[in-house]
Amino acid sequence: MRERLARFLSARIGAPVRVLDLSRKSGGGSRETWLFEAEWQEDGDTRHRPMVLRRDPTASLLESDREREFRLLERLHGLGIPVPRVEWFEPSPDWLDRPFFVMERAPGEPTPPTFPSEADPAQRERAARDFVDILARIHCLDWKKAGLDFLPGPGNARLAARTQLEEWHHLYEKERLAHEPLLDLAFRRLEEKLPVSDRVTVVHADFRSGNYLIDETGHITAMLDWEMTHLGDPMEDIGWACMKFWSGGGRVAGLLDRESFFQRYQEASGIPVDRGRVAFYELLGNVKMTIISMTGVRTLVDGRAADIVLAYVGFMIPRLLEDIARQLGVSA
Amino acid sequence: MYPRYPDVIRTIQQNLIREIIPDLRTDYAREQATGILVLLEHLVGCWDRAADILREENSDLRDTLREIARTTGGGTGTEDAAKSDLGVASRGEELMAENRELRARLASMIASAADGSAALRLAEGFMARQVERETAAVTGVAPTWD
Repeated sequence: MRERLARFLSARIGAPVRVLDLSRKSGGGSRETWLFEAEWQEDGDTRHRPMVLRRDPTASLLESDREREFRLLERLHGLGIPVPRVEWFEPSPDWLDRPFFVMERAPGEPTPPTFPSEADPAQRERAARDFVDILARIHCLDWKKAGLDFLPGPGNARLAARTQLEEWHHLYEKERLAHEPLLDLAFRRLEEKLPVSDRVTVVHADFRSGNYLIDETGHITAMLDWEMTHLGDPMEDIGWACMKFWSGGGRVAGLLDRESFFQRYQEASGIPVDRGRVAFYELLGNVKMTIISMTGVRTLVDGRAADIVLAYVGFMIPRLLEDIARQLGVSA
Repeated sequence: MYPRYPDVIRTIQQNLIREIIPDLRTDYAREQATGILVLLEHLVGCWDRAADILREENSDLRDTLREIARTTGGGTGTEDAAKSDLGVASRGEELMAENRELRARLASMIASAADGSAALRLAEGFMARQVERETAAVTGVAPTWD
């Protein structure tokens, strides 16, 4: 891997490149993530650059999805949204067996999927402020003008919820190992309560703690994991961030209470928070996360992947079902 | 006498800890091995109950389906789904196949039952019991973020 990656980088940079400290990160059923440092000589100086390789796993999403994520990151970086700068996209399997792209390693450290409860309150406050501000900036992007209309979307705002519901129901039908009665019921209820959005925005679709990097003061240096990003209802991101699954200490994403989140978001974006739509997308979020977990288990069972983290993901399903049961008012 | 399952699992764990993990060269490989250790620990704790858990769920599913059929008098279009034409499985793979079939039948009922109907309430009762069973079954191995 190291030598092959070095050959690719040498061809792109135009000088012999050494790949140092190459290490793979655990997790990520739809992407392999490798960290490394590239070293080469340029104008008599030795250059070092910390970089990230994102490669398709042995079986997963379409190649076009990889290219879409690359194009999206390229545009977002140009628009001033804090994302890692992408360098090269390579669709051919000739270099590393599967499509991949290389991007800079942004400064900062990831947090767990909920912001740590023991963190310094000042650090949490800074992260919370950035969390809301970045989300507002994403939702306020003029996506047509910014050339982001290649993202999949609903066609018009009225169809945003239906598009998502149909997409995830299709995935549930395709990937489940067995029916999950609570999901069958949830789909039925969601279908009955389809909301109508008043606008279409860019939706990150995995906006939560654990998907950004922070510096030592708590500032968010980069928002990560844009592979599910699409056009849709901005309340989808709000509902996802509000899921109990990502909450800690009663705080959205472990960062701030729900009312403050809504208020700050409205102030920053000028977009009113529709609590009914948020509730719909919060339930759909739990359904989606359950299906993502099921898909992880399915890839293991089918032998399409072997990362042990995918087995852990399966053990999260009961906790998600507990939240879905609560939201549906299902009790013995 | 031969090594019983918990002993076999413990042996695999010790082998990982003493012989394999120290020789692993990357953080990724060590994380994977540590993950395997945790899952093996889960298996030690539940290997003797795994079939019972499935039997209990299948029994609950069968009872729920029968109760729905009895309550609705077969008038909801769900009578086919409630037919007790499945034999009672006793072993692992058979239990899993039976479970898939019973779950599919309940899903079919959920799709056809009217809002607020007794059938739907009975199905929801099963779901609530199932969540309790599953939550208890993964305690100690399911990841949490706090």
